[in-house]
Amino acid sequence: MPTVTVNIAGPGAPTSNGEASLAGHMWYSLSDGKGKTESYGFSPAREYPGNPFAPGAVNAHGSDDTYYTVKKYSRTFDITQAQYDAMQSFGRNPSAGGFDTYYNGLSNSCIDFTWKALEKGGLNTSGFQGELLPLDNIDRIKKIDPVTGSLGKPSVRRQRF
Amino acid sequence: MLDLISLRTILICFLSVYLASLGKSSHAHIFDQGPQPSTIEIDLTRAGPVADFRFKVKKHFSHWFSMRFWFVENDQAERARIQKLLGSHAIDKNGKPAEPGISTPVDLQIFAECAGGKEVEVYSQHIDPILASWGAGYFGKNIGHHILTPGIYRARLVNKRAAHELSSIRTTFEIAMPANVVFTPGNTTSRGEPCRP
Repeated sequence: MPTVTVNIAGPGAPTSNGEASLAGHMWYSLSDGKGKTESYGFSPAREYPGNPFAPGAVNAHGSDDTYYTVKKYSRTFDITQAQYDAMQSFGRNPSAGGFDTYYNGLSNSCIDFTWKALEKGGLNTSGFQGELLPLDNIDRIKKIDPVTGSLGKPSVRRQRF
Repeated sequence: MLDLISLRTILICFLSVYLASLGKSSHAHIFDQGPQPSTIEIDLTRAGPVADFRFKVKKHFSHWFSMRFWFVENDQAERARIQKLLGSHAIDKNGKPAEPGISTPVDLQIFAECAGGKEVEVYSQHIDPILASWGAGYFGKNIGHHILTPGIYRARLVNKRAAHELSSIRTTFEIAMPANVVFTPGNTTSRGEPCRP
């Protein structure tokens, strides 16, 4: 069965080449259930170091699954093939999915990107755009009902996707 | 009464103005510390040396080396064509590329320029990279990264396979520092060491 994992790293999280994350990071990883994996994260493009307002890029440092060596929180959801396809399509071409690829550390960051992907995959039916800082999103991710995609209390109603 | 969304909006506006003014007042100091030049046009349709140039490093930091394959922003047909050529970044259960796309093997060497014109190799990479990243108008393949100290360097990139499939695609070699990270030099190599006898 395909899965999506939402990942959150905190400020100071070490990276695979000896750096440390400035403010933390949030990204998602997809698995097709047959061993194929891919992750998607959004950040300023590399030629704009330290700039909170800059052209953005997906996976600017390659796979975030390997770039960030310590995660503060992860949650994995079983998803349908349709949900998998929707989130993969969004990650591979976010502008086609209606996402502005200009990075704004305050209002269009890795957090907005991940929540938008969850929305595409039916796991954020309210269109929530995220809290300002990565770690502040942990409680919100915990509240996602994997069946309805709502951020409210769990329901037994099965969602159509 | 202000709700949480309004408070967040006000906070964002305030921080936006503050950070924008910070960027304007000290732009060169904060943001303009990337290497120069940072981008070189390359031709991967022929095998052999495709880039050989000197560049200046201004900040002791990790520097990333990559290739970019460009398309006109919003040209979805061209974007899809290039993406199909380059494959994806997905890996299979054995850790190997699941959709590798065309092969673009390269050798990269970075030399530190020392006193008296002497050069010392500080980095070498032989790799057939897969698609790693993408922005509004390009796809990127990462070659590698290395911590460089301020000074003058020379980069030499050799293409190992003539990739005729890329004949109509503008391709560049990039050197850049990673975004949104902090780096503490600590015990890493000082500038003087690469050139020390």
